Amino acid sequence: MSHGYVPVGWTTSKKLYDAVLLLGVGMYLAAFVHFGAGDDQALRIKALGSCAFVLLTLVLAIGPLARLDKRFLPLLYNRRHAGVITCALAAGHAVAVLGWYFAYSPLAPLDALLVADTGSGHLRGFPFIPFGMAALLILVLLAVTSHDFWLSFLTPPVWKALHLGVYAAYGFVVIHVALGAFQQGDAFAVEVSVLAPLLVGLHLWSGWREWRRRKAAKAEWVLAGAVGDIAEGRAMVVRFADAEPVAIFRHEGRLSAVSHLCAHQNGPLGEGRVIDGCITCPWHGFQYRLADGCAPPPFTEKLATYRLELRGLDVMLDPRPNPPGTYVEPLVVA
Amino acid sequence: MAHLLVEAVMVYLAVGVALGLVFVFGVIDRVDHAAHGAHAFRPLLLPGLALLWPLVLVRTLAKLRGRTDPAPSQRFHLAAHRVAWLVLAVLIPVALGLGWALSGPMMAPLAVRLGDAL
Repeated sequence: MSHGYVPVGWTTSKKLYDAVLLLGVGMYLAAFVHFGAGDDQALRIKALGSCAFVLLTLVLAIGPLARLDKRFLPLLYNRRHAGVITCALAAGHAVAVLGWYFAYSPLAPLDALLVADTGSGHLRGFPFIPFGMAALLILVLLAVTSHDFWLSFLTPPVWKALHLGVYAAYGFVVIHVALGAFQQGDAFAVEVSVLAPLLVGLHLWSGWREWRRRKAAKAEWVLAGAVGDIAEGRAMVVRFADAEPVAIFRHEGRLSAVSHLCAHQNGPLGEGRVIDGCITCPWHGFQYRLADGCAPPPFTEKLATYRLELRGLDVMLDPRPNPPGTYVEPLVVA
Repeated sequence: MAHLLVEAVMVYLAVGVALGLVFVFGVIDRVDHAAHGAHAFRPLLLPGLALLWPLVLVRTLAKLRGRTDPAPSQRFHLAAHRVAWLVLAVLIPVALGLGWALSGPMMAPLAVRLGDAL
């Protein structure tokens, strides 16, 4: 199953999501400048930096929130646009800094930035600017490779490894603020001091829950969950410490288990839905039959399938994958 | 030195833009079938091509030689994700603590010495 690239894959929900996001960004910037203390230009610089930080924190919170509560899943599908807007805000912050603090330097602004004395009174020489530059560079790299083409061209493992850089960017931003804005006594310091630990706590909590679930799933046949946990047309995702995750779908009173990873670009199939009797990937709409994991003709992609068993109201899963495309009789549950 | 660095970055990006134009108007159809007949998205690739042109060059040559990609796996990604957050769980409190400590009046003399030492 293939598709032609488009500049942006607009849907009604994406347009609505972007409109809300842009409105929120606009209101945040306006409120920051209106209620903040200091001269206008410095406030605008701080507003852009602060807004970029808040948005980056929200973007990074979406993953664990979606793992903890499926109601956050729609945000997960749209976070790419939030990432690009974050990059634009951070770039705006950098351009505003160049245009204000380095405008009257005898050197060109970029040259002046690199040789700047970053001192702020008693902290002369503390290098907070390079951390901000490193974070911006990473955010730019992620934004310019956010189109589907890059995922396909670089391959999912390389693309995902590249995009892991967002964690380094977040760390750099926190250091940039701790050594910069903190030293000037900005109220922004409080915002960062609250949001950054909250984000870390959220990720650790979500990771701990995941670890407990995996630990409980080490036997040959593992308890996947209760039948009632799987909604009609949806899936439950079962993760393992040393094997690929499995998605168990429910469709018309029957259960089928396939790999959680789409054969196209590694998309999270278990977060998709059954449409027209086929599992449908939430990323690009690639479809697979439930019983054998094969894409309907003329397409040729295949997924690994898995055996299921019902014990009382518990669904048991054999985590050893069948060869891709192997037919497994769906498990009747209702 | 700073000027030289900025110039070097500009040259790198200029080479990337030139190669990127060749890629989006000449090579892309041969390395990605989903690009056939799709033109509107191509300008969006130019900034990425300008930044990542050495990697794009290597990948393009591999694809043109017919090298197949390894099967996708999520294991590395999940492991790296765990490590990243464990590192951040240490780094962020340390950075915030340092930031608060150095900005306080008690730590000002130390900050001066540390700043001078750096």
